[in-house]
Amino acid sequence: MKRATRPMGRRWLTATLACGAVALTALLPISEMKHAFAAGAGLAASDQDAPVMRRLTPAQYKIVIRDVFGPGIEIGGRFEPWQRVGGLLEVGTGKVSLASTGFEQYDAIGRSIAAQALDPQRRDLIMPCKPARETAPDDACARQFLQAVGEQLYRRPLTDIELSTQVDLANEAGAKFKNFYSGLETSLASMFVQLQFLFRQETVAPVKGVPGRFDLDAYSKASRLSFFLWDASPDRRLLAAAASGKLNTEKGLNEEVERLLASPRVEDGMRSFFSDMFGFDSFDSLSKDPTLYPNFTRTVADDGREQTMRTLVDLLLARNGDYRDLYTTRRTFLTPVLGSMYRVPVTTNLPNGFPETRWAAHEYPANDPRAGILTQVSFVSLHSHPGRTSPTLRGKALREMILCQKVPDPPGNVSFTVVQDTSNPLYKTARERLTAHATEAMCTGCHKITDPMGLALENFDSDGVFRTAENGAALDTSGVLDGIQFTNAPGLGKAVRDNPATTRCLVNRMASYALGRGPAQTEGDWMAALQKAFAAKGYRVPDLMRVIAASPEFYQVSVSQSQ
Amino acid sequence: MLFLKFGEDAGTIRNAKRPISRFLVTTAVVLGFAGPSPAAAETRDFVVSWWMQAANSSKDDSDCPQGINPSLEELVRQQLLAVDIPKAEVENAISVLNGGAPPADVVDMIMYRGRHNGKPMHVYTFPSTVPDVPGMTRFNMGPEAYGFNLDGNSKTGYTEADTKEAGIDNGFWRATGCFISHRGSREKGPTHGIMHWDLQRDKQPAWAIRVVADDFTKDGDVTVSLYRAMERVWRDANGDVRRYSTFRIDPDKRWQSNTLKGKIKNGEVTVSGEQLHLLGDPYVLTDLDMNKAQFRFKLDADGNLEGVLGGYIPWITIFYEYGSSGFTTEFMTGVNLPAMYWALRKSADGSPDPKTGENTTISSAYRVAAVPAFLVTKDQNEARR
Repeated sequence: MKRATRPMGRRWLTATLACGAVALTALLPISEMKHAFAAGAGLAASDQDAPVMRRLTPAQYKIVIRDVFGPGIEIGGRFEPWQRVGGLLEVGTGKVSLASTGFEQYDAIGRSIAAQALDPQRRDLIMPCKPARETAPDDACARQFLQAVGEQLYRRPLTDIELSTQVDLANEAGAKFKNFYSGLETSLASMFVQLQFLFRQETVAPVKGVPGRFDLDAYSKASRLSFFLWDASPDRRLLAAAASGKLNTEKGLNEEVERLLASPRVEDGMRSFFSDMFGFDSFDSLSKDPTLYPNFTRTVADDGREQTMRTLVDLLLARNGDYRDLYTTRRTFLTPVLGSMYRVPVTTNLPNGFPETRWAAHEYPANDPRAGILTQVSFVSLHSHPGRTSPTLRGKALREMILCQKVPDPPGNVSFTVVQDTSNPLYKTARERLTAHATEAMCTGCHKITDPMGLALENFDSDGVFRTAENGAALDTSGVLDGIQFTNAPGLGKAVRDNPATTRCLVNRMASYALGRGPAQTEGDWMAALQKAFAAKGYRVPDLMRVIAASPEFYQVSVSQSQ
Repeated sequence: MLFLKFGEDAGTIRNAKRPISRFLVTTAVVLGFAGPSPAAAETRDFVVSWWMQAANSSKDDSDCPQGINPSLEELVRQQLLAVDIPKAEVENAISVLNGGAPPADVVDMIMYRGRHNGKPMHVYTFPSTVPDVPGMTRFNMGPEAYGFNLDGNSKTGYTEADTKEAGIDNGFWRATGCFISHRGSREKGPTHGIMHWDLQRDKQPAWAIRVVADDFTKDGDVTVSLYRAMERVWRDANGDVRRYSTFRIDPDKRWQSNTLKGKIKNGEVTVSGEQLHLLGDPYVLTDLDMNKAQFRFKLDADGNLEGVLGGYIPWITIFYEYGSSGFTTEFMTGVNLPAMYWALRKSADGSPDPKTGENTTISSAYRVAAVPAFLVTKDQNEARR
């Protein structure tokens, strides 16, 4: 309502000023970055408050269940919606609550998991003991099981009260049902709706001799570390390191960081981070007009997403490559169905009729119009409309996701008629339509910072298929990014690669992801140090993860947070 | 029902032959996939998206002067009465036919309406046990049809619907062009053909086409090869065949000699060859075994291929294309299969049997559509592994 009554002149001014701020942020030198980090991601002041609790994401929930009870547990139902804050869902997990309907969903999911976990065919694998009689409660066995499982679910040992409450529940239900396992199942199901499980709670302890300074306790440290590097709960060794106090020593912490980084599970952590940073949750609702883009199917969307994941895991993890090369690399992976989108022959020797989900390494030729992840199906299809491309959406995504520069939403009363009408013979290409549209003053400012990059990707239709013309008119894919001019998509990729905001943004995003909040103003020095370290290591992402994970700052909380 | 049991058994056997563990799973991006053509030539590869009888019905049914073939009900009534089934039972069976899925005893009565020495015979396996009686079959007498002058005699046959060439031989159309489910046009294909191919293309390894020419923009020589792939077609979001999919060419030598040669002129390709042989699907079109084949097609701006393929094929295989699903075909399409049997047999016009003199093949024409694809040979595929 407020927006509707605001004078148009002020709205235009707001948008224009905001766009100007984006450009300024992009040009800041490293020495001034510590102030830019907090604002650069478009984080509001409230985002700088540390979260006390972060709700498990659906992916984390599933990983935890798999880790505790083994693979094969089916997790149905729908999880509570989550929100993106400061460019990351992981930051949003600290801002969400739990509605009653969501609680009901978690309850139903938890009951199903408990029933499967203690199913006669599975229980022997997870039970550390056998009850004296199956038809009656067994306090000792229930205690042993709930203590062990509880530590993994709550990511810390259960308190005496917590444990006795769960054991009492198991005994009461076991007596009522005249079945030990039914009682245990009831107690286990109740743990799945406890806040201690659903939310990553962090507790702090005052640092001795430093008034006003607080550190996370060892178990909270273990959780931060594990969810950051593995996207999972701490494993038994990490919990043991927390229990022994090892994590509170620099040497012990470094040993655990190295152990976690050396594990193949670090790929889960990397995938989770980049999936969040690139907004890949949007794939769940991505669709194209089948009349215009018949080749774009659910399989293409799923494979396109996985293609980008494989590309970055291969470059950044398997080959320990330079993060910036993600925007210029010619190496990727394809499935047969992606081959039909990229016009590349891809075969599998699977028996006829098997799903076409196998992968083959592929390298674009030197003169290929595709290079880097911006030219992959995932990016160009995700940031397009169902029936046409959108240089604006693509440019906006690039600015916001990859360069951490906020692009304001369009004013509410803008007419998009010219842009949307792809059949207008006067404006055959998106460039022509956008040029006509941007003659309106209120549109010009923002389109200047999005369209010159997005137009460089016009060779890729809304479904990601290469094209050279639109409505019979040849495409002009020239553009400019922060003063760097280019003529095509690979040129844009190189401009992004060489833009200092690209690496600065990654540091900001990764730190935010790890912390569960945007960096605070007081953490500017640490952010600058991370940026320096990242550059010194040749922009190797595992090294950045290592530096963050081993930093004391990663485990410190401000006074205001602890309050 | 017999045909269901047959299908189930065959499926079990087929699965048993393919233990999953036998297959090593790998994938490859194939380089140098253009095929074994001369370096200077241009190669375009396709996978068949549609393959159906080339129908050319007139809108006013004037091409069927005896009328459209009688309905299944009418013919079944005649045939059941002819084998002395009481009229009340026959009328009951007919009424059940019109009312939905018929009970097994009615299905059995219809399936076994043939007679040999007074004993009931399965009419889809032994269609000649239903005698050919006047009025049972009605032939297409239209002036125009799709196809080719296969016998070289321009005084017999139809006029070609597109080219207006005289002497077009298309006994297949003559025999079936007045069955209601076979009527159609270039724009709207025959119901039966659409239904059958739509089923078949999901079940069988794809059929693929490779076209090689020096320059597709100029008149000149063209070589066209038809292959059987090792993969089935993949569908797109609309249910059509996905464009630019990759297919491995089945290295089986039996499908390696399907080469047609000819010319490209004004953008239209016309090729011919002695023999085409492709394995199809055991429950629909068992195989394509065509001699004196001719193929005429064009490539559109989107790279699709569309045209007409004709030649002589064993007429009995056409019958079994429909007869293999027997009662289902009759029930779903209203085609009386013994009537189709006699129509095909009487319209056969090629390859006379040396002993009986009876023709064993029938001239035919199919409408073929194909979309761009990548074809790779076994060697090309393995070179990348």
